Amino acid sequence: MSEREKTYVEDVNRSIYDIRNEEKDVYRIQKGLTPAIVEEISAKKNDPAWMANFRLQSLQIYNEMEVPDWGPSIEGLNMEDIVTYVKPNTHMSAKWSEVPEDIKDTFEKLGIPQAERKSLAGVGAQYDSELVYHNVREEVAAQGVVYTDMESALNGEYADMVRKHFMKLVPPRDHKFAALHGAVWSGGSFVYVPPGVSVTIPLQSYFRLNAPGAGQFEHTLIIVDEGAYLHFIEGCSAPKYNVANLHAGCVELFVGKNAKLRYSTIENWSKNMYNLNTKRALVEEGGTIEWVSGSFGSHVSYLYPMSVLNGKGARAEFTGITFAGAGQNLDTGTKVVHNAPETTSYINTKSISKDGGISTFRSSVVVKNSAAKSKSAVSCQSLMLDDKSRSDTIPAMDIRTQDADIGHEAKIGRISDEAVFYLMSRGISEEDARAMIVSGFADNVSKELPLEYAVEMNNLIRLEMKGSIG
Amino acid sequence: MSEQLLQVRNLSVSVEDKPILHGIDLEVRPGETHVLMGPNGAGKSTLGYTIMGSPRYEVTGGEILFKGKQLLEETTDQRAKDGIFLSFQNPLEVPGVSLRNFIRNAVEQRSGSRIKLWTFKKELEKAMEVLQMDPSYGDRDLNVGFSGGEKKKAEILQLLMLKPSLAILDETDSGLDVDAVRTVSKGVEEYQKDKKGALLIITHSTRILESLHVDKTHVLVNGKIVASGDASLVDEINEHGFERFLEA
Amino acid sequence: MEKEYNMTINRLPAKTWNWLRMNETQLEKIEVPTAGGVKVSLPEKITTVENEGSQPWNADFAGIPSGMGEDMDGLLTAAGVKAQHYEVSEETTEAQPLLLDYTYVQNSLQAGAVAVRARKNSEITVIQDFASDRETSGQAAVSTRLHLEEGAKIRLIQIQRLGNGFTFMNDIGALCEEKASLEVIQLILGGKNTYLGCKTTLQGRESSLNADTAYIVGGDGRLDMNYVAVHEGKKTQSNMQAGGVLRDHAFKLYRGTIDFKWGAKGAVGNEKEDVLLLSNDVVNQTIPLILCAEEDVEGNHGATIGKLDDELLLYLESRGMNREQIYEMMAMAKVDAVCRKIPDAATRAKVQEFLGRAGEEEEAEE
Repeated sequence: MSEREKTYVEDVNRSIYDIRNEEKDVYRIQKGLTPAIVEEISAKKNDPAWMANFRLQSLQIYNEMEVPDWGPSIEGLNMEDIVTYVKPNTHMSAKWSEVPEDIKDTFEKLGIPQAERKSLAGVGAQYDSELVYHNVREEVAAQGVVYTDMESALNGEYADMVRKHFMKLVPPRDHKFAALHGAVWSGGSFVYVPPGVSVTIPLQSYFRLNAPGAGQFEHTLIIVDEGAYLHFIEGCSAPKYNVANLHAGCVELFVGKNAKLRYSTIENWSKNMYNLNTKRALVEEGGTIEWVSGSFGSHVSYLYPMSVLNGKGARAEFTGITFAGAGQNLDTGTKVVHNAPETTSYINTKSISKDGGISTFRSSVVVKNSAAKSKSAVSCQSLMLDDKSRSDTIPAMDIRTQDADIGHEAKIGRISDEAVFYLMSRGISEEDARAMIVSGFADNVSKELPLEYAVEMNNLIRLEMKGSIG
Repeated sequence: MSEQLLQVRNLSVSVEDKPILHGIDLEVRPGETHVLMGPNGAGKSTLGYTIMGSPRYEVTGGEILFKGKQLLEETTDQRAKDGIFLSFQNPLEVPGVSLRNFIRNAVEQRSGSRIKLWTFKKELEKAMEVLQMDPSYGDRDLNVGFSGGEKKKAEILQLLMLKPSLAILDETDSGLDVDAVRTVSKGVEEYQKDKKGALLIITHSTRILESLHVDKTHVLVNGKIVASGDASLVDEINEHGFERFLEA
Repeated sequence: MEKEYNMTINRLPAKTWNWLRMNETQLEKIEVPTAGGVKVSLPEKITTVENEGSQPWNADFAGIPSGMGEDMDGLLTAAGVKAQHYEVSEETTEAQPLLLDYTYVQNSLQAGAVAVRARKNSEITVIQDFASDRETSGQAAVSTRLHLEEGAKIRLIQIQRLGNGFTFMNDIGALCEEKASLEVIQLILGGKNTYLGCKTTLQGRESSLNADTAYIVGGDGRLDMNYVAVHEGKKTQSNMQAGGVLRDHAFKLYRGTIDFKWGAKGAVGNEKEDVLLLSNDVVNQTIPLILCAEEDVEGNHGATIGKLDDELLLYLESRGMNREQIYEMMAMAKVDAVCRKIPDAATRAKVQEFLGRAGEEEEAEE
């Protein structure tokens, strides 16, 4: 099947994302946030002393900082009601057969073990606050690639490396929810790719938040050493509850000299989720970071993966799509800092608003005085599917060198009636015609994704477009 | 065959409250080739778009029957499934949807069943060969970045693949060089040869008609059919233009 | 009356990250000016209207929002400024411009306000010329309100050729009723710190805005702008273009917002910025917003920032010009393009004179 065949798949059943497992024998920390709770998490996780300390300092910063005075309202999120740590009643395993039945079943339905067999070099699966499964293919491990959960990394062979990098790129002071993350983080993955090693098939982490009223705070730390290559895929979902859930993960990516990292995300949190996630990459000389980001779920999102181009000739690409439907306020975009000469950034985003959904594209491109001969091109397009919805574009540029080449274009509009008529004149129903045009609009992202994920994304779009004609 | 394929009866059409067509009558039998000629702005394209069901065109009177069935209540896609095809003067660009995937989707919609990838591929390649199209066009996004000639060829390609019982070609030859007109004509011949499909050719020139057998010619002026005749009418217009009809 | 005044001006219609320092501009301890400082050439068909109340504006202008925002009105109030109100009557076309000459001297500390109401189907050109000698310093503020009734046309031309120590606040608020059209032409050529706001509310169906702004900022000058086009009416159109040149240690912040309100069906908004940076020490900030609560609209924004296209450079160099000459030429070309839109020859000549190119205007005319 060629890649182009991806529009030919059966519609997904939304219900697979909505599987709710009963909480059985789990360890659930009490609601809210106090030093005692943070200390308890530390104790449960056997934190080294520096980390226990780091958590408490972060908590203090969290208490000092204000919530953002820009962006979507997070009034519906009351930290007193959020359970920061929910440990499933199992240990991490490298065999699916050892994962408890109901949890395994959920991941089966989400297609994770199948994808692992077919097309992944390694998989981590997090269920609520802890990883329940982690495995990497032997031949990849033999290349010296480390792919493990954060807790093991913190106490294992790479403890120093973790300590040297942990929340250095995203310090707790960065914003209130980064501080929160520093205090209560749990789970997530650590990846180290040694110099010159090219991991030809992707690694994937899947984050599943099952517990109602809980928060997920996984930490992903990836170091791609000089001349190495990695594609890392992140998937997220949760069943819908009537209480607010919170996701405040943190992703720190270190891309070495002439190394390349592609970081792909298909985010499909349920629509009661507050997704306040922070992702950042530091790119050294000649290195490349490629972000591919699809945002479909959550009630409120604040998500702006940031690229710091720190070495000469470093490069960032960001390809994103955001689809905001009923009840969703998705504030997404990207940040780039050009901090060295001859750095380039390409940003290409699409956003879609429907059924009263609000989507905001927010970006900043900063070209410092030290970044002569740099280049940046930003293109963002927004599609309004009805007049109940809202779509805002807020791109900022701050250019401090003469010798830069900066271009920006933004467009907003609707599906053209003529295009719908044209497709209908070839026998395609109005609903399908509109879905087809929207899928085509989202093509910038789907063609950057591995086939299975492109299929999933198209399914999500089709699902959203169902019954879109009044 | 005696039963009618298309019956347009006393059809009046407005665009944005402005009347364009006034009481058009037109009948097309299966396999026939009709030519609708007339000066610019006469309403030729309006008739094509109305038969296809464009929401921009408001039918203010009369009716259209296709295969004996009332057409006006049907949606555009239903009309396409019934076997009507309209080639657009300016085919729309649809980014992200490849020509190949699009045609396959449309063919499946028309037939109501999945088509085997292999069968489809063979057939598409054959049709593209007739039109001297490079197979790589199949991978390109529908009409995006196509030249005028390429867009017209892509329209005829869809005609060949969809095999309608009535094809309305709207100014398919305009803006094309001699070679391209020849290629497009070849495609149209192929369509008629295979399927005995009827044609309604809307044109204000006659180049595309040279290689076709024309059954009937109609002259549309100011929203009315002012003359109908056989193929010889085309020659007459070729020689004298529309002046005779304008005075009438 | 207080002598110093703190202002928050040029607020971005939707906030973003505070660290960018683009959300608004704080002006602290602004000296409160005195009213006055304008010389008026009143054409025949323009009438003056009494300013009745104690407020800066008559009631029908008080509600028109401006680009700099309410604090500017606060400054006017503190300074005791009462706007001069002018009016063009229905169906009247005044061919002669309403000329407002603001000539400042060393240490000027002045504020002024002007309101123009163009009645149904009337037409008028308003020219505001802000000038002082090159080596002067001072502070000046001018606020302008325009009310365009059905089918009215106003062309507002502003020339800023102030001394290199001047702080200038220039605030515009306009309201367009059905089919009214506003054209704004601005040349910002001199001064030290310039704060510029321009907000147009396209309230009536098919009303339109065309704004063309060209600037040259050098030395350690600052140019801080806030343009907003609010589309309320159906089929309204806005076109905002800004372009210019930054030299030396110049700082420029361009905020440009197209705001499509719900119900503005068929509206089209375009925004374009084109900036040339002539030094490595400039700060060039741009934030072009498109806010949209309506499906049936079309909004576009484009920006190019930085240097000249390599191929163009090569082409011009091959014709014997050096880089510096080429950049100067392109810089002037930007200003000239906007200058050419000024219908009044005398005003065009003043611009050329300020740019040190006296006499070129006449040559160009031939």
